[in-house]
Amino acid sequence: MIVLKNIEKIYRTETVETIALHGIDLEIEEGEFVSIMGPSGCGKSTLLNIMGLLDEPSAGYVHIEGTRIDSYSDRSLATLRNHQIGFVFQSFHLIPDLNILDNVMLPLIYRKTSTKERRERARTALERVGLQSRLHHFPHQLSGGQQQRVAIARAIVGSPRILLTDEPTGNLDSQMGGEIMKILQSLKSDSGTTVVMVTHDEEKAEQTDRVVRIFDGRLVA
Amino acid sequence: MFWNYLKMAYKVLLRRKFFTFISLFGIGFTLLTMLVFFTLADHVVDPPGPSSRADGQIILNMPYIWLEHMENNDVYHGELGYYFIEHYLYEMKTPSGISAYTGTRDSACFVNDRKVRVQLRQTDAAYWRLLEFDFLEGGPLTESDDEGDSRALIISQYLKRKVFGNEPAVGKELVLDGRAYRIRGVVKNVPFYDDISYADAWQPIDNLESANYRNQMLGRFKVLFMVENANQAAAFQEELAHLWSKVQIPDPEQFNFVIGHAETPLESMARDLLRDGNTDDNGKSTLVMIVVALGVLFMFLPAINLININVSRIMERAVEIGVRKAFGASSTHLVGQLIFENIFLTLVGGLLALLATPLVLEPINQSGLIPHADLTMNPRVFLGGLLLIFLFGALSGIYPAWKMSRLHPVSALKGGDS
Repeated sequence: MIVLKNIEKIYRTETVETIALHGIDLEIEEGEFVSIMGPSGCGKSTLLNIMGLLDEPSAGYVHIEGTRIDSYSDRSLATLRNHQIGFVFQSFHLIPDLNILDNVMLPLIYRKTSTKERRERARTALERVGLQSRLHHFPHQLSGGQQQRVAIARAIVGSPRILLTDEPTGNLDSQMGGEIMKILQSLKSDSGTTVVMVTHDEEKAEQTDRVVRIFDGRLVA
Repeated sequence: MFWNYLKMAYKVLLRRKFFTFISLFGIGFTLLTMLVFFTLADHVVDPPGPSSRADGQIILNMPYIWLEHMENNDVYHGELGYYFIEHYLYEMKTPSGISAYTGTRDSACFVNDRKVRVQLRQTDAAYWRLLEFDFLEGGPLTESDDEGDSRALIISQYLKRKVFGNEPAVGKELVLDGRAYRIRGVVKNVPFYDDISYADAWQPIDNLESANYRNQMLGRFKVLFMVENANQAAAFQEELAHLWSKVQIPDPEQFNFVIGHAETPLESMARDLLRDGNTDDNGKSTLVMIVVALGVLFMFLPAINLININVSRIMERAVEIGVRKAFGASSTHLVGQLIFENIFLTLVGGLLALLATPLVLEPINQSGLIPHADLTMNPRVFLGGLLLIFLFGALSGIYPAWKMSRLHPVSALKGGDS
């Protein structure tokens, strides 16, 4: 499903060159739930951003579903992200001016779908995360756990094959974190979604199929 | 997507109310100034008064002729003499109507020992057939006034009120510059910017102090031509082009070439400002371009200000831009959305300006700054105003939208700090 070959990521300024990722080779199977662990600043989020086509590697290449992704135009990358990949961020990143329903519909406005279909799919996604009664609430009216569930609904509303989550439980207490993990587990088991989760939390990582560890930009396990 | 953009634009408008107020004030004030200016310009180049024709007929004006000596480049241009008009222009076959008239000159009458200044114009009878004055009392000058020592006088509503108050004026006597006239008719006031029609009083040409005017090649007259449609206008222009070679110039030693142009007020103005007589191009396009360029220049500073406000407003939305990119928005989508939002903002400011324009025009009309001004916003100015709003919105939205759409998604998600 996702193949990373010899990925390098180097950040250059006029005076400093920082190697964020070095020689990363990684394959993630379809329907697999993989966690990426490592200390702060080791390159976990950079790796996730490269997998999600939000960032380009300095060297190496990414395969998504057998297609090598390089020299794609901005529009092609946008379409690929829209159809294949969903994101869940640690800080939720919901749009404060839009209500829950509109937030969840966001990925669908970049597709040729009718408003009716967008609404239907957003309602279904919100039902799946147990927030069907909060459609017209705004993000600030929800708890952190609820906001993260909305973020998951937004990530899955377009039925992506891949879900990339960057510390999805990092800002939540253990009970809410547990609920989010259950939802991610169910996405893997019910829909066969490939889930990649960056986390600091050993206990959460143990709940996934495989743990990938990074240290100083290199895979260590 | 349209409704989503519209909803977002509305929400953004409500987000930082002070910024919104500043933006709307800047946009509204700029567009208001432009609309007032364009309303005035529109009334000058196409005044909606007696010289305006709704039935497809075209009024063309010949305010000057040019006399040149082709070898030593001596050039003189001035108003037309009656001899020239009578012997050449009145003989033309293609126009439906030809009229000679003068510009206005200062005159005066006395009411209860108080001097009333009067702008006086001389016209022939045809002038009153070609131009559609609105008569409140009496009627126009006629052909018999062209022939004799007529003392008939048409006055404006303004002069009638000054001299006769609310009493009827027709048939009464009015002394102008020591000469007594009999009021033939009273017309609705004509605004000052209607260069062809404006005056306080109109008298027949025969009332000119001396009969010498009948022998002059150059004098103090202008000529109006009326044609029924564009085809007739073309035939008329062709006839006019052939006419100049037949004109016998009184002193060929001094001048050996003569030419004049029958043009619309805008064309006449452009030629007067930018060209001379011996050019086919009257400079209308150049004048329009200069006015548009000045308009754009005038909008430039407020647009830069709005661009700065927009950039800072949009930078606050870096995370949102990052999220949109992550979920499939291309740069084109984002540029489209952000320009749409800016046009929406400009549209709100522009609509406020459109609503406020009549409120500014009315005091100008009442102030007497422009005599008898009747400035109103017509559909042409309204549509031009809408175009201006879209132009301003697009101009001030493109750069911030482009800048934001170029943000790297990862740095946008971090708040656009790198």
